[in-house]
Amino acid sequence: MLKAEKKLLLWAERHMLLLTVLMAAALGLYLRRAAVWWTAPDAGALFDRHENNIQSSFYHLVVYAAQYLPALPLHTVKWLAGGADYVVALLFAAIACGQKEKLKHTFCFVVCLLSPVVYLRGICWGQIDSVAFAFLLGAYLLWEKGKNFGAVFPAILGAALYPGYFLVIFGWMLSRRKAFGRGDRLCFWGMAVGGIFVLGTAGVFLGEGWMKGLASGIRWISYEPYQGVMLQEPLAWGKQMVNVFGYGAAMLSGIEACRHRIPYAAALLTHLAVLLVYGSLLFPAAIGI
Amino acid sequence: MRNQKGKAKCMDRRTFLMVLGILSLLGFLLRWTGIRFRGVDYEQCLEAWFLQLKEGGSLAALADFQGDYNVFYATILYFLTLLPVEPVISIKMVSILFDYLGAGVAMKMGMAAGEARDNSCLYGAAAYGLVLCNPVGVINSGYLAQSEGIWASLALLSFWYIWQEKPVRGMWALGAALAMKLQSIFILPLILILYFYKKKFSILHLLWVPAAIQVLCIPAILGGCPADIAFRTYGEMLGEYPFLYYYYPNIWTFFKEAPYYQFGSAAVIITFTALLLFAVLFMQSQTKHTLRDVMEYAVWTTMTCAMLLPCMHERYNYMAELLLPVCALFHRKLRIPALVLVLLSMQCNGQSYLGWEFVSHYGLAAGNLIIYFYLTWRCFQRLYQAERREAESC
Repeated sequence: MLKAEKKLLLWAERHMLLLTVLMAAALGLYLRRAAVWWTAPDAGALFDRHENNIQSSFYHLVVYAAQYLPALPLHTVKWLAGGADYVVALLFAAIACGQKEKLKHTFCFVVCLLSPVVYLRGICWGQIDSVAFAFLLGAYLLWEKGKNFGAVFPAILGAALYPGYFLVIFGWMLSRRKAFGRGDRLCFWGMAVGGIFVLGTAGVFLGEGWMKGLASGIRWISYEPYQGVMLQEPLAWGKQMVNVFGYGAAMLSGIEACRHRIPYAAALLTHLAVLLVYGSLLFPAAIGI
Repeated sequence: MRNQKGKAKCMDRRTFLMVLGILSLLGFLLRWTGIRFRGVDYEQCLEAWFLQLKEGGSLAALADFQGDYNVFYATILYFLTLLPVEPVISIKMVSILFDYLGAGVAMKMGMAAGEARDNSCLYGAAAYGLVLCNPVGVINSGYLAQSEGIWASLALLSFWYIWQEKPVRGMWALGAALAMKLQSIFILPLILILYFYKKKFSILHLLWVPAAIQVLCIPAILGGCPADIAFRTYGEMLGEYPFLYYYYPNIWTFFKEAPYYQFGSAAVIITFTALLLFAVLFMQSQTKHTLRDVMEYAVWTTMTCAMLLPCMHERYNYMAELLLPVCALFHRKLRIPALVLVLLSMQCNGQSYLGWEFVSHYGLAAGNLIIYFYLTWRCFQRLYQAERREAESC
């Protein structure tokens, strides 16, 4: 082995974790650049504001505002998700690992950024779960650090963007609190009221009215996204719920596994199950779930 | 019988050779039972290519070779046309000969890995028998006339030489394996990890690989093929299929309609990331890795490629299917996964070539993935625990 080669190897070994993160970030960008040109079946239906659309009024307001950016409309939405993927990966690593666990940090960042669930849901499908999730993780991080009131604002934005996450994420957050004091209760109610206010106001901005804006926060429970018809078959409803909560479930199970609260196998199974459902929705002939 | 240190000594040299002889004979008999079997691939591809080369009558026939196999294999086929033997026998005999090479390499590995337990001969003989009499290997070479035995044996030989710190031989073996089939590249990640880990050979040694490939193409070049024929074939192979899924029951079985042009790079990057994370953990664990463990890592890395890369054929996990039973000699918990993997592979081959329909493709894919994730958990957990111990001691 050449001397220079050995030096280079030793240098690479010393900076291995940083190099891995950089490489993963570059690969993630490359993947997203290619996928932005692929359109999922019926992707447009998610952005059409038809009757009984399951997305919240705040979501539609964000998508509407994003159209003013200098890019193709669908690409803008996809890049919102793609950018948020990076934020989620950073926050995921920060929440899931202790401060001195550099290796674990690296793994969490890389796995989260290049996870097939994240990739399919965000840049391929054009769903902005990652934006909502970035807000909610940010809120959780602030909450854990005791900055309760600072946490309220990102929590309001996250919950208003994807109201379905409101129940799950904060149920989970609260269940993890050792003591649920008066300050926490105030913040929780502040977040709930703020979320309702944002949804209603977004409805007004979109010309739908306050009440319709509020109703947009719960339509995901019973309607399918493409035609806006009510879900009547239990299997179809279950699949839609996996669709709505899948991204969050995959992320949370990952965080919980890293914190040794659930087995890694459970997190992996959750991830795979969500991946299968997303795969069956994106490539319908693939598997008849 | 006991040796001087008082430990149980399992086998003397004569018994060892006798056991090897019996196993060799058994392996040959198993293959001979199917020697006249003509599978679909044999009739439609191998025999047709053979006849075309025979009709050509000289090395110039290689320039007109119509098959999609590498030119090195075509050269072997051409030389077989010169023998006064039926093609179905001569073609299978080449693969069978390499099966013995593979079994020999596995025996060497088994003996080296079993040295710590002071019964290396027993482990060596068992490894030899497990590879030679592996039903997947028997079906592949003896029945289907496929060439997996050739590239897998050469790839294992390459790994063995690199482990032995004989990089030039290792790279020549790898070059020969790659000249045979591109999928022998599945061993390359582990070789690169060993390069980082051992720091005993130069990256420049990798230049022997294209040299070996080129040398093995000399007959074809003399016959009129372009000088870059070997490398051109690799380029033509990539992107040959329209979908991620191609017969091998891996994760892409569940995404059969996902187009290759769009998601092929995603699948490659996911595979690369899995291997990269493994490499990082391997290096960070700072422990002395034994051959027993590294053999298991070899199974994991090759299986990662077969499970996550796009357009995998039903025979591409061949190396892992041969090596996992050998690993099971040293790790009891691998015995059931090894058995199941071999059974799943037999069913997979049977489905494609013999019309067996006992298990659906989804079932096979699920089985393969369960084994793969179990191996992933084992390898990563072992390395991670070693890394934690190292971090705590610091």
